[in-house]
Amino acid sequence: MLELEHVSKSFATVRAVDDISLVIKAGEIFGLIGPNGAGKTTTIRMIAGILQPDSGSIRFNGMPIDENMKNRMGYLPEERGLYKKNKLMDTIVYFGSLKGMTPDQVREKARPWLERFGLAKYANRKLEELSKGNQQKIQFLISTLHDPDLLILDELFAGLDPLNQEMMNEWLHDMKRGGKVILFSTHVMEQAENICDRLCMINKGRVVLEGSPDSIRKQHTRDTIRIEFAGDGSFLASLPGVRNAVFSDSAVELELEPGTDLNAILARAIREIEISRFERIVPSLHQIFIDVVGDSNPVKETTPEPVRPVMAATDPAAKRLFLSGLFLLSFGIIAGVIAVTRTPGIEDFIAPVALTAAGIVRFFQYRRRKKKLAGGTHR
Amino acid sequence: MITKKVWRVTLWEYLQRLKTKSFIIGLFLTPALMLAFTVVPALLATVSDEEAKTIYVFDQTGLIIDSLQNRLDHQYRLESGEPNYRIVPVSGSRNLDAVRDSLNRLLVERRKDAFLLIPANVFDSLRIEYRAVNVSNIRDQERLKNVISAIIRESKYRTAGLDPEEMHKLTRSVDLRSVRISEKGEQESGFFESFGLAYVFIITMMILILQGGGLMVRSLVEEKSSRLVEILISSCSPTDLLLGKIFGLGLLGLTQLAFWAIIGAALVLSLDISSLPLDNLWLMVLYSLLGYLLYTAVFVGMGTLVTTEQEAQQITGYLSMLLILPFMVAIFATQNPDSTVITVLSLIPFLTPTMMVLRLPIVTPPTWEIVLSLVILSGTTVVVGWMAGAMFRTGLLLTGKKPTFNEVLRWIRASVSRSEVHHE
Repeated sequence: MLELEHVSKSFATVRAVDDISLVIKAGEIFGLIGPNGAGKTTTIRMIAGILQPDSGSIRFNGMPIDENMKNRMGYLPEERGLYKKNKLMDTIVYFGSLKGMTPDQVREKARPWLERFGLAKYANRKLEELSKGNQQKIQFLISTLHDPDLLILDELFAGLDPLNQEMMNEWLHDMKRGGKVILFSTHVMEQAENICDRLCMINKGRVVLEGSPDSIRKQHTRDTIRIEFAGDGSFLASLPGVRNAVFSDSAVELELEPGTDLNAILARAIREIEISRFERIVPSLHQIFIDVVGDSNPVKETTPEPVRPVMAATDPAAKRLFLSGLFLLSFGIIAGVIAVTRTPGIEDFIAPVALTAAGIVRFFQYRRRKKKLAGGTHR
Repeated sequence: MITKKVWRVTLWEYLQRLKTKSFIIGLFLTPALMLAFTVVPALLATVSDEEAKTIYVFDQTGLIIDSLQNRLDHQYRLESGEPNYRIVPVSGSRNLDAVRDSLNRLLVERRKDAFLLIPANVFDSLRIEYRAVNVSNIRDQERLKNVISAIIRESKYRTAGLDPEEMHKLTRSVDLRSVRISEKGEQESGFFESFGLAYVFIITMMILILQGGGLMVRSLVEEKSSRLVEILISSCSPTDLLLGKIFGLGLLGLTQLAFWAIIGAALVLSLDISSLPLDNLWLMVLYSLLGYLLYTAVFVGMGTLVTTEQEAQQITGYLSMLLILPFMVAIFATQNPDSTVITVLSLIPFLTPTMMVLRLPIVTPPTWEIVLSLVILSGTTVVVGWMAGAMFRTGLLLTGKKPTFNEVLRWIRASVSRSEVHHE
């Protein structure tokens, strides 16, 4: 069982994770969903022991996440990369041994998997010879070879074709049956809907939705029905309890007041028109995601990184200040060195010192301008 | 403190790099190139000409040209036994300027290669002219100059009624024998014996530092850009990773060093070791070791800041300049090993290793200087190493935007407060 209690993490200007609490049980696939920049990756990195939370605690089976815990944990990061120039088996052995296995154990366990992936003949080839999909499979292999109790999978299915997706799906359910705690992050809602037992949506570092996919959808079911029919259905718009009606080709979506009796509407409709379909619309997770996230993030991208370095670099005045400062300073130093080598009097140092000082002043002006620009973009 | 995982990383970094082609090539190529660079120019300079050189001489005095041919034949011969220089007299008008003009034209048209003009007043003016398309054959010019000087000198002796043989004996210069005195007694030792050792040390140190540092930065950039570092840090602690890398690359350097030492030993055995000033060897090794550690720490710190190969190479370039500085002050250091400038330079920790290794074979620096420099150097190494470690722990996950100076300071401070919490 993995428990997060009031976990928070801030970076320089951003509160990336803001008081998140979660409980994930063994034998459960738990989905973490949310828009880009919501704090998913930061949360995952804290669970994986890569980042330390500023406050709050993360415990696995009652124990804090520390170095000893790392051997019982498998982590598949979102961005996939491996040593390209090294041999496949060497790489697998290295990562396996970092999880506390002996090289022989790793080889013994890895071989059947490579057979299963059809990659056995590549064992002594360089990783860069593999296709991208196959490289990903090696990564899955690396993250699970040591039989971890806690699996953290960031965007498991990204970049896989349907066949391989199916393979991974089977494998994921194997793991689930093995009683592992599985944390699964994605931004593809259909996947989350199909695979996860429970899920949690975070936005701007906070939990905004939590529960099983069904229960979340039920919570967000608006009282809308859809009727497909033949005949003149225009009377439907004026029935009692109908707030709004949107007609399309031989179908209508009726938005109802809460508590409206569906049977009454159906009974009335059956008398007047020929009904081929009558259903209550349950929104997809995708729709809920857009509703929930869209409300709080009007259109804007959610990366609160300050843009100040770019501004300073493209500002011609700042660039001029920087360059002239650099020139003055270097000439000052060169002149100083020349002066020293000529067994000088005090007056020989006037020019070098003046040049150097002017250079330093330029640098200060440059700094101030940069700060001013940065301030400007913040406001 | 040092866990099993440190050794896993060490082994990986060491073995995987040992197997790369570039390492194996470098193992053989570096000593070969170093030998080639030192031996080949020296050899070429002593190689004699393949065929006789023709020199056209316009001798206005008419007194010099014959003995010039004689003496050149006598002193310089090709390997085949043929004379090295063929002197061809040029006859012409009495007017030196007219001769000069016509000869110049011949040179420009490439009909002839070189002329020697000996004016009539050479005994007073002591001026001759060598005119050629190529005037950088210093050896030929030096020989001509020496021979003609001797001819003029001897003819002057004769007119003054002196016996040239006798004069030659009288004007012989003294032979200076330099003996280096240290606690170990006296050693006959010259510039090259003293410096040879220092240079070998400095060059070896430079290669090991720059290569090890370059590998360190590149491996950090690779692991950062491919996000491999996330998998690594979810398997072992950043400290384990860093220590493993340092040990692995250090081991790699030692392997290389051992290999070169074997090659070097073969060469050194053919030299006379007793003339090498080996009394301060252990100090030289100590300075080199500390220098290696200090620069490795700097490279680790830099490696956490840069995000691309190009930046990594730039940084390596700047750092190599610091290491080259001692070569530039070497001549000055030999003449004034105890001057204030040299003392001050030796106490700047980033220059200490190379400066001290340079100075030790010349004159052992005062004890206080050795102690002080060692204290400053090891102190700096500890501080820089600790800062690099703090930057490493935080900066590893960083990609894309380069951190500002203030951010780096914040990482280091954060690391202080965290370690304080740990101690409590």
